[in-house]
Amino acid sequence: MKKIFYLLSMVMLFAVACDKDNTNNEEQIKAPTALEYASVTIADHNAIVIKPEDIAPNAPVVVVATKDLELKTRAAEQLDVNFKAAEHCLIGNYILCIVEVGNDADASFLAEVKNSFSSATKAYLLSYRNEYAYTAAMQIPDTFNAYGCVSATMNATTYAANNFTKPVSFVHVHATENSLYKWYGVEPNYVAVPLCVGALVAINECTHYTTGELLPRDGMGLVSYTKYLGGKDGHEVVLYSVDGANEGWCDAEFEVYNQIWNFFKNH
Amino acid sequence: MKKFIFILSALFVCYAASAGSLKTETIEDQGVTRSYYVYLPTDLPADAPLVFILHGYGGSANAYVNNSSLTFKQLAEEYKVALCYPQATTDPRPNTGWNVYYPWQIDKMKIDDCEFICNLAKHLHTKYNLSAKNTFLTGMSNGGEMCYLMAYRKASEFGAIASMAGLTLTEMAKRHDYTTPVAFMEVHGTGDMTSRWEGDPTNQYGWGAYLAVPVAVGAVAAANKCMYQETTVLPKIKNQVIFHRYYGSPYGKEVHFYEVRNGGHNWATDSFDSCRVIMEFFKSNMR
Repeated sequence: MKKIFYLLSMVMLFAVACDKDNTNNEEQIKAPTALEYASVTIADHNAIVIKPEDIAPNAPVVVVATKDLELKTRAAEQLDVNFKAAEHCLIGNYILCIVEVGNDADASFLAEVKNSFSSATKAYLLSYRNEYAYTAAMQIPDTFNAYGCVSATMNATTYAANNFTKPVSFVHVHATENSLYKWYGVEPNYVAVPLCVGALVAINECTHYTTGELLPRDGMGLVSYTKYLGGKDGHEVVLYSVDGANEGWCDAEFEVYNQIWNFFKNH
Repeated sequence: MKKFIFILSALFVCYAASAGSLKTETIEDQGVTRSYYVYLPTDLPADAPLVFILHGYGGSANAYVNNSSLTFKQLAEEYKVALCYPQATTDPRPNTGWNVYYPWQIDKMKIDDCEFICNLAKHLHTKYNLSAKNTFLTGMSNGGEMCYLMAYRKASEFGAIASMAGLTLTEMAKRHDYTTPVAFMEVHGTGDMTSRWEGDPTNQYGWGAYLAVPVAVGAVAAANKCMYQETTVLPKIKNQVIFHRYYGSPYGKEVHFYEVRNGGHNWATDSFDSCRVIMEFFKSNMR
């Protein structure tokens, strides 16, 4: 009798185990998704579109405006596995469009770039080492859900000739030792970082701010942030300042892509 | 004998330093008799600048005239500027105060103090042959709030405006926009427990909701389109003072921001020569 019970129990346990295995198979995340790269021309500008190969058609798009040809080439040739900005679209599950920009003070073509992703439910603009996010925030404030700028400030001539007219949510990442776009501005070319941010805080009608620091990585400078809150229609401005670093993404100092993406997806 | 001559000389120097004439006067404005003091230094030239000094909430012009830590009268002799210390009316609370949209003033206080100051300025320009172009405004606390309100509403009437421990109430920002660039200064203690550095967005402390001080100053810098910044640590006397200069405005209107670390709700005269700094700021904005 005991033997029968034992055998029955074993059979049941086996059945449960098999069932569990099946369930696991169903729940298992699909095989790691690869990135698709495509070189395209949008609004007469060279661009690279990078996306997870099985991404939903209505996934959000992050347009990165860059003058950095090296970066673009690296993306195009799919050579650099350490190109973290591209890899992050796997984590965030968004489409990344790196578009080459020049020195034109007109950012309106970025609306065409955005419109080329007509299925995207949300679109964000990030300018890397150039002022296009600020120019676009002035000229096409309704086009993107949020704007961001890494390692650049406003062009002084553009600022003198244009006004911010509508609130925009904006994130700015800047190293205090940036030698080209200096923190306190460069006469007569570039506006000081606190004054760029202050102009957005003013147009957003933010009322107050909070400050904080991120846990420093070994040997890296302190990363602190100021979040300007209470703005019209929930618009806010966030400034990350990275002590001691120079130009670049500041991705050695902190999870810059995560921080920017977290800001974007909240708007 | 030498000692006696020395004391006499010292007394003479003190007297000469503020030997101008102080007058108490009144003016009819908006159906109300308003009082004020005018200080005219010795040998005041024609078309001399005029500086308004506004007292704080519950305060008086008389107290400011007699406040020895405020060196404006001595500085008026040196810089050859006329001074005016107007008296605020009594508000609905009731306390003496300028109408700057505190919650208990909104819709209840009929006096328009911005109009009053401008009317008084015109009166003094004519009566004492003072410069309409070079008229300046400073004030502390409630008087500082008036500085922000005037920057919103009457910027073209002033060569420059300097607020001490002043605030931008959100009611001001709701009702007005900065339409005319104006040279502006703010001196504010980060430890000010009355007019809080970090702002009071929910009116927790009863003065009405107001902006964080750096946000308020940033709004003026943005309106002036200041493009560049210099930050200087001043020699430490009591509290450390950090001077932020925002410049490069296409309108030529700078914003100067003195951050008094751990400073309280006062003119910060124990941490730097704030009255002279204000007078120098006004001088640099003579038109």
